Amino acid sequence: MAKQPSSIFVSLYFMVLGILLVVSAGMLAIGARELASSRDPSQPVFYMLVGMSGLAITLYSLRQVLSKTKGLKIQVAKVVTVLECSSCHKKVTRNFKEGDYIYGTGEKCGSCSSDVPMTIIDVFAEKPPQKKPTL
Amino acid sequence: MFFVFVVWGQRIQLTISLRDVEYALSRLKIMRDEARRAAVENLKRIGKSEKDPTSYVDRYLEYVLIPPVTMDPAGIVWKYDHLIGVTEDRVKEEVKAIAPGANEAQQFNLQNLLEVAQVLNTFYRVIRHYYIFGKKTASYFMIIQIQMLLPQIMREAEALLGAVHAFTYGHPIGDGAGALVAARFMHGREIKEIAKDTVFCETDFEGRRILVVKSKGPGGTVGRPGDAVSAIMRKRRGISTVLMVDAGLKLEGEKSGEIFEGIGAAIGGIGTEKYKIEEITTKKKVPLYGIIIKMSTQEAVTPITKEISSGIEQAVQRVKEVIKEKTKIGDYVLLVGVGNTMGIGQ
Repeated sequence: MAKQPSSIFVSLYFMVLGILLVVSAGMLAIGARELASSRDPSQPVFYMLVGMSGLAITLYSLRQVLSKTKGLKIQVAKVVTVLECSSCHKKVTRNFKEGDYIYGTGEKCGSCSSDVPMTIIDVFAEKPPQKKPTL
Repeated sequence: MFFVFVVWGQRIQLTISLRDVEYALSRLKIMRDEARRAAVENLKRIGKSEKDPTSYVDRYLEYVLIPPVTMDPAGIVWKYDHLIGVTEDRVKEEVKAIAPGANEAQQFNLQNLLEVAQVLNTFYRVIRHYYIFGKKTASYFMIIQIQMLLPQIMREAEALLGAVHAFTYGHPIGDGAGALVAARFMHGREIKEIAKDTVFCETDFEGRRILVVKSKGPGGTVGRPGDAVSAIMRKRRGISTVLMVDAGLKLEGEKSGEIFEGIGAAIGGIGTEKYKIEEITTKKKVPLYGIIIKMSTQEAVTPITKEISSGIEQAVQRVKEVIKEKTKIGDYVLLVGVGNTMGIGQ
């Protein structure tokens, strides 16, 4: 019930935009037809200018409305973890796992037989934040 | 048409401005609700809470720090310091009780998440207040003041919403750049707790003794660098230089990850920690240098990017250069890495 007045205004707004669009298109059509048949171009040019202005206003308003109705976006980056083996100094990059932290320990090294787990030396967002709609 | 604009022009403008504020308000509500939902969900998931934490989260969103009286400003820093300490302890205890399954680092991260939800709730409530007040009084000037501030407020709100993901998973964030620089010097050394949630270690570099301070990671905390610096400088005589590294907000058009230097205490926040550092360094007449890593508001609260990561490595190199340039062999240097140490160990 509380949303009723705002939905009436939205309907009214779109109705006014629709009327403006139809009238502008009509003015443009009349102007174009008159321009072909009339000797004096001033009146048809005036119609066409009014029609174009109306179209421009309609399109601008629609664009404004559409930009505002876009969903809220949360920028979520892909985060990676860089691990280094203390024995062979090999670096491994993999996706971030919950619980990873810089100077924490990770898995054992796959390339040497060391029993010491690798050390996490860096955690960073690999790519610039990607726009992903979540709401 | 002219007559209409002359008579109702301001009224039309007020309607347009109100629509803008209304739109921003609806977005702020969505952001607040999303942060609240994330806080509740994570208290259940990480904290393995036995009872529903929703009522606690709702109560926390309305928490306020009642500022001390400023009519007599003498001693206000210590009053603020006390109030901040009480707030931190209270929230820490409550999160511990509500999330018994979370370890210490996760408890800090949950506190950060609650703070994000609280700030977004404050933004929403304040904008809603001015929107309703402006609408009731039909005050065009009230509404345009809010409309003017909206781009900045919305940018900060969107940055905080982006932080929800980082605080949920414990990613290191841009604000931790200073702490990470300190961690680069600290790693592998013997660590001692010097102040609340703040650690320090001693190391050698080019014949100088470096005392390194940072907040205790990997939980999301900024620690008490002011208390740590005061404690070290009271105990240890002969410190020749204090060097602070922190993340700083860049201006539009500047590149993220660039570093710049200054003289003075490179530390943000309410000002109590800054006061303590300035007080002790002034008393001891020790030079205070700052190195700042530039980033945007959003980068400060979202996972460290490649640019900021390279800025951190530059800052580490610059710290080494400054130590060599400004101190002599045998000197004691105090290096303080400032910032939220979430996802950064030592």
